[in-house]
Formats: sequence, structure tokens, C-alpha cells
Amino acid sequence: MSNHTSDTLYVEGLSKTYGEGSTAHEVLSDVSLEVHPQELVSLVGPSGAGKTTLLRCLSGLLEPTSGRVRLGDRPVSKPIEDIAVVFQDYRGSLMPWMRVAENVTFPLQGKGVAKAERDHRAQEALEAVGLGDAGNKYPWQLSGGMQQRVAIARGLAYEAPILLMDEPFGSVDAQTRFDLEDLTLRLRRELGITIVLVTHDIDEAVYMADRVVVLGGRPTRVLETIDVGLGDDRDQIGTKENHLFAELRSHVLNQVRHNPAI
Amino acid sequence: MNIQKILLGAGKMLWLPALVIAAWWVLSGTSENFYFPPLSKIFEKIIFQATEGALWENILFSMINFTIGFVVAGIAGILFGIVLGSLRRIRVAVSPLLDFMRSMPQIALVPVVIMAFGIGPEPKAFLIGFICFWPILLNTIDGVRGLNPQLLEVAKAYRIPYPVYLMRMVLPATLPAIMTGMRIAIGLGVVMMVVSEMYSSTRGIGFYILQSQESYRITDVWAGTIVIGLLGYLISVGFVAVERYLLAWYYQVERRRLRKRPARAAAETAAAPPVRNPASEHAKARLTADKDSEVVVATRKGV
Amino acid sequence: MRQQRMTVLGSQIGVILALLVIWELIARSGLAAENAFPPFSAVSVELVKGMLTSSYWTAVWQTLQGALQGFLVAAAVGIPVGVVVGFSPFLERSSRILVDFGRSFPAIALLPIFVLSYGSTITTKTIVIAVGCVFPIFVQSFYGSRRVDPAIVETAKAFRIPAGMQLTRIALPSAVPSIMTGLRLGITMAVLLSIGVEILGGIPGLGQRIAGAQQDGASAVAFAYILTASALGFAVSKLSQAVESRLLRWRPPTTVS
Ligand SMILES: Nc1ncnc2c1ncn2[C@@H]1O[C@H](COP(=O)(O)OP(=O)(O)O)[C@@H](O)[C@H]1O
Ligand SMILES: [Mg+2]
Repeated sequence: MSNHTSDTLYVEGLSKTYGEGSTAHEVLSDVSLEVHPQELVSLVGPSGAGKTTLLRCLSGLLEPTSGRVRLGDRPVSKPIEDIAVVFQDYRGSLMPWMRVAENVTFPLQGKGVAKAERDHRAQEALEAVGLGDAGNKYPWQLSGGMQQRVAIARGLAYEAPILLMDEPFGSVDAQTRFDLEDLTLRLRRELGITIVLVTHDIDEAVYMADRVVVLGGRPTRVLETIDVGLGDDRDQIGTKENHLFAELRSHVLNQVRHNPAI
Repeated sequence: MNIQKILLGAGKMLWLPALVIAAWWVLSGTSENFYFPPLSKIFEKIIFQATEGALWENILFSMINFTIGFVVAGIAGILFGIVLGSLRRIRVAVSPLLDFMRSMPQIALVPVVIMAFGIGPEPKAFLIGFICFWPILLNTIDGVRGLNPQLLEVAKAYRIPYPVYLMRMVLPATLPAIMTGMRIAIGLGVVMMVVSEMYSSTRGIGFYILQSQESYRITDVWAGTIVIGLLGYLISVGFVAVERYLLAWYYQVERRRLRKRPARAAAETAAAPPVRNPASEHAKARLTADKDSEVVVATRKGV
Repeated sequence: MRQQRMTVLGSQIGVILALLVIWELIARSGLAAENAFPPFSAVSVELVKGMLTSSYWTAVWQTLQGALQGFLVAAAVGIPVGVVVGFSPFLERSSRILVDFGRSFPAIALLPIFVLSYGSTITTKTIVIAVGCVFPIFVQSFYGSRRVDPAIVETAKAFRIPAGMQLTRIALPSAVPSIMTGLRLGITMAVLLSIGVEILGGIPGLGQRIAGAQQDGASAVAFAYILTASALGFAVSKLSQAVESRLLRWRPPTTVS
């Protein structure tokens, strides 16, 4: 997996309304943010705030009602090669009828990558997430955390410079969650990819990110963008004991509390 | 040791069928009743027909008609099912028609079709196909509509080409529903096979029964009826084997889901993201698709 | 919203009208033999003419009567036996092969045997239909009582609820939704078999009228009866769906779709 640099991802005045007429429901209102190359940005907000909606707009899966998303000077109006997505529901996003390796190589086939190269990349990506010997298994033979790692491997093998992750660790136990968080940080450091991480967990948002974008209000907007000055080396125990971490955490929590969503 | 276990398991399953056959054998053994000949005589008749009579020829005729009708109905049902499952507008427009067609007693067409197109094999295969088509179509539609919307998201996000999406994602994901439809279709198809031959034919196992009835050869009637029973049984056993093979992944997933503590399984289902399938947003206009799929769910879990 | 519903309705009616027009045109063009495929207009004339006679309604009732009788017998046997067998792993295992055989057996193949012994009578019709519908009903009742939530089974065991009470208070109620499905499948099967038995056995009813008319070369009349049979099947299936959803209002939304 080569390193790839890419352009800055811009979100400009993005609004999204579901439905129309009397059933219209404005979820996002005038959201603007930037994600620079090789940065890890957390989008944090309560459930139902519209985080998934925002992420789907970022990936080009959903068209915003107004505003736009662009990568450098290219508009992102449909899914592009530079962006890979790890979905919230890994059970629904891995295909139970395909082996793990197939699940990972499958998108590459559409990209026109040759068979040998596909297998090679899949093996590399699976090794990167610590599942080098699971390629021949079926997803359902793996634990939840391992399945989520497969989904991450699929994103990595796609070799997109930008990885969007939607509450990727939401449905695994606490220990696995910490492991996956650290795995993600390591991969990001090694591969130099840009990551947008959506989460409702404030600890996770702060622990993982270079910058935290706090979403909230009704309809949802960007409440604040916070630079996390915790340095590059994070550690589940040390970092979380750090007083700066505690301060940031309380700060974000206050923001969210005072601007209830939905 | 292991062999003992297997034998024991087989014994537990076989004792009752064996008892039933034995009871029938003994009780009918001395039967003088014209309508209920001894089972031993019926067996002799089956063996005679199989060795010296036209039994195999008749079975072959019936099976060819059945296979052609079923396969054509299967292909057509899956194709139309995937199209109608994906295109909401068309589906909604034809839904009352489909509803009507699948609940009509298709057997009613037998006299018309056979009188018009003759007593050869083609009209029979057509009739079998016609009755098999509806459950396969409706279950396929249901399967496509029940697809996890996440699947489409993955396909879009990773820019999977549409044909690949259909063949490698939609088709396998819909396969459990398709198989259900096919299982229902097999039952109906066998009924139609028998009816179309008993109505009018020159060959086939149903014809053998009919001919025997008309000449009051009651033992032959029983023999033919038992052969049809065995045939139906073998077809469905064969189908179950194919299904188990094709859907191995599916049964594994289901088994794991059920093995978990039920509360957890339920929570998992609840934790699935809200359905954003555009189709289900219009639940009201929803085609009342074949509720027969419930049967399958039951069957799958039951087995 | 309202307008949308109108467009949907419009498109549905459009499809049916288009089909009828195509039917008419094909029949008139002479592409299909007259005796096979009468034009829709001729069929509707026969249908209206028939509906004005009492003999038409007699046929409808005869078909329905056979279906209902067979269905009721099947339900009376299939439900209790199914629930009990599903409740007991021993009975389940012992009867598995017989059940699999029975459910794949085309009951209508029994017709000649019963016609020989009971003649072309309603008794024959009822027996064949009962044999044909008992299996769907049995199998659904069986799965219903077998699929009791394991947590409930454990609770019952932990509180040492006696077996009889487990059967009547736990297995039976949890089987109800599944039994309803079985009944719905059963009644649909009953109508189908009723028609089939009438066609093959010359037993009075819609099926016999279809076969008779076709033999007389009156294919428009045959089609009028086919439409009637279809409407009957449609009505029975709609009605049973309505009854089912009404009786099962209490059921929490199913997790499996
Ligand atoms: N396709 C849709 N149609 C209508 N409403 C939607 C749709 N998707 C999401 N919503 C609504 O938008 C809001 C935000 O949803 P979502 O983006 O999933 O939030 P989050 O991911 O932050 O929990 C919720 O109220 C949800 O009900
Ligand atoms: Mg979400």
C-alpha cells in the first residue's frame, strides 16, 4: 500500500433536508468544514444529529440540498476513487456469501485491478489489520471486532487517500474498541491516509483526532472546531489521564449539552 | 462408537415410518376389499412395472415436462423478480395484477390449454411453468426489496459496476428468498404435473394412474400413486440438498444468530440502522408480496 | 400525497386495461385459435349472462363448499397434531420422514382411488382437499410450537412448569402466528385443489363447468368460469390475509422480514 497524498476536502455551506412540503425535515444546516491531507478529523455529535447524513454527503453517496463538497477543485457529487468508506453496520456491509479475502478484493475488481495485484493488496491490507491468516474464512466465522477489521481492510485495499469511517467501533466491546482505535491510529501514521471519523463518543473523538468538529443544535450545524494538541503519540492510558485530554473532553461535553440536537 | 451413534439416530427417525409400513403391510395382507388391495400386491406391481412395464418411460416423460417447466419458470421468475424488485414504479403499477395472478387457481387453465394445444408434452410443460412462475417471481421481488440497504451503499461507495452488483451482490443476497419461492413452486408444479397428465395424456405417471383407474386395475392405481409420492419426495429431498449447498453461508449465519442468547439476537436486529430503502418509505403503496416467505423463515429456523 | 396515490391507482388501472385490450386484439387478430382464446368482450358477455342464472352461483358455492369442508377437517387435525408434535422432540424426530413425504405428496393423485370408492361426490372432494391442506397447516403449527423463544423455555424450566401447562400456555400461544400462516396457505390450497378435483373427477363445481364448456367448444363460457374461479381464489386469499392481520394485531413487529 503506497502512500498517497491528496487534496484538501472542503465542505461548503452544506444543508440537507429530508422529505418535502409538510414532512420536510432539515437535518443539516449550513455545515462548513475542511479536512487537510493526512489529518484525522473527528465529527462528534449525539445520535440522530445527522452524522451519517453528513458522511454520506462527503462520500458522494447523497446529494446535499444546498452547498457542496469538493476535493481540491473537483466536486464530489458521486462516489469517487479517492474516497473509501467504512460503514457503521459492518454486518450489513460485509457479504456473508464471500470469503474475507473476496470481500476485500471485490471492489478492486470494479476498479479494473488485475487478479494477482488484487490478491496481493488484499493480503497486505488484511495483514495490516492483523488478519493475515483469515482470508479464507467467511465473515460470520469471525468476531464482531474482526469483522470490523475486515471492513477497514477493504477500505485500505481500495488505496484511497481518504478514509471515511462511520461510527466504526460502535458495536464492539470496550477492549476491542480500544484495540481498533489504536490500530486505526497506527495505520494512519504508517500509510499517511486522511481519515474522517464519525462518532458519538466524545472520548473517542478527542483521543483519535487532530481536530474535533462538534456537531449539534437543531437543525445540526458546526458548533465548534477544536484543535487537539495532544501530539502524535497517543496511548489509551497515558493520553486519557492527561489533564489536557480531560479539559478537551469536558469542553466538548459542555458544547453538546448546551446545544441539544433534534 | 460413531457408527453406533449414527445407527441410533437413524433408528430414532426410521422406526415410525417402518412401523406404519409394517402395519399397512400386515393389516392389508389378507384384504379382500377391492379398493384396498394388500400392500404386498402393490409392491409386486411396482416391481413388475419397473422391470417389465413402462414405469421408467412414464417417469421420464413426467420428469422432463416438470424439469422444463420448472427451469423456465425459475429463470423467468428470477429475472422479472429482480427487475420488478428494483423498479418501484413498475412494481406498483403491476402489483394488483400479480396479486390476482398468483392467487388464481392456475389448475383452472388445464382444460383450455390442453384442448387447444393438444395432449403432447409442450402444453404440460407450459402449465407446470405457469404455476411455478408466480411463487418464484413474488419471492424474488420480496427478496430484492428486503435487501439490506447497506449493500447498495457499499456498491455505490466502492463504485461496483452495475452488472457485478446484480450478479455478485443482489443475486446471492436474494437467493434465500428465491429458494423459498422455488420450494413452494416445486410442490405446486408436481400437482400440476399430475393434473395435466390425468386430464389427458398418452404417457406419464399420471396417465398410468388414470388409465388404470379407467380399467379398474386398482392395484395399478395404488402403485402409480405410491410412485408419484416417492417421486415428489425425491424431488424435494434433492432440492433441499441443492439448497443446503448453495445457501451454506446463509444457514451458518442463521444458526449463529439463533445460538446466541435470544435477547442479544433481538438487540442486534434492533441495532441495525433504520431502513433507508427508498422502497420502504412508501410502505403504503407496498406490494403485498408473497407472505409465503414467512413459511420459509419458519422452515429455515425449524430445520 | 393524494395526487401521488391517484397516479399509482391510474397506473394500476392502466396496466389492467392495457392487458385486456391486448387480449382482445390478439383474440380478434386470429393469431390464436378461436377455441383456445376467445376475445375478452365475448368472455365478459358470457360472464354477465352466467351471473344472472342461479346455476352459476350454485357452481361457485359447490367449489367453495368443498374447499371449506376439506379445509376445516384439515385444520381440526393439523393444528392439534402439529402443536403436539412440535412440542416433543421425540415425536418430531420420529415423524420427520413421514411428514416430509406427506408434504411433498400431490394429494390430487389420490383422486382416482377415492373416485373409485366414493364416486364423483362431495365426499371424495372433501377427502382429497383435506389430505392436501393438512400438511401446510400441520407443518406451520409444528414450526410454531417448536420455535418458542428459548428464553421462555428456559424460564418455564427454571420455574418447573408442568409439561401440560407448557403445552397449553406456552407452546400453543406462541404457535398462533405461525398457525395463522398455515391456515392461510391451507385455504388457498383448498381452492386450488377443489377446482382440480372438479376438473379431473367430474365433481360438480366451477372446475367441472370449465372442463364441460371447453369440451362443448364454448371456450368463452369456459373462460368466464376461469375468471370466476380466479376471482374466488383472489377473494379467499385477500380475506384470509385480512383476518390474519386483524387477529394478529397484538403481535410486535416481526424482526425477520
Ligand atoms: N433517508 C432518510 N429519509 C428521511 N429521514 C432520514 C433519512 N436518513 C436519516 N434521516 C433522519 O435524519 C436524522 C439524522 O440521521 P443520521 O444522519 O443517521 O444521524 P446520526 O448518524 O447522527 O445518528 C434522523 O432524524 C433521521 O431520522
Ligand atoms: Mg449514524
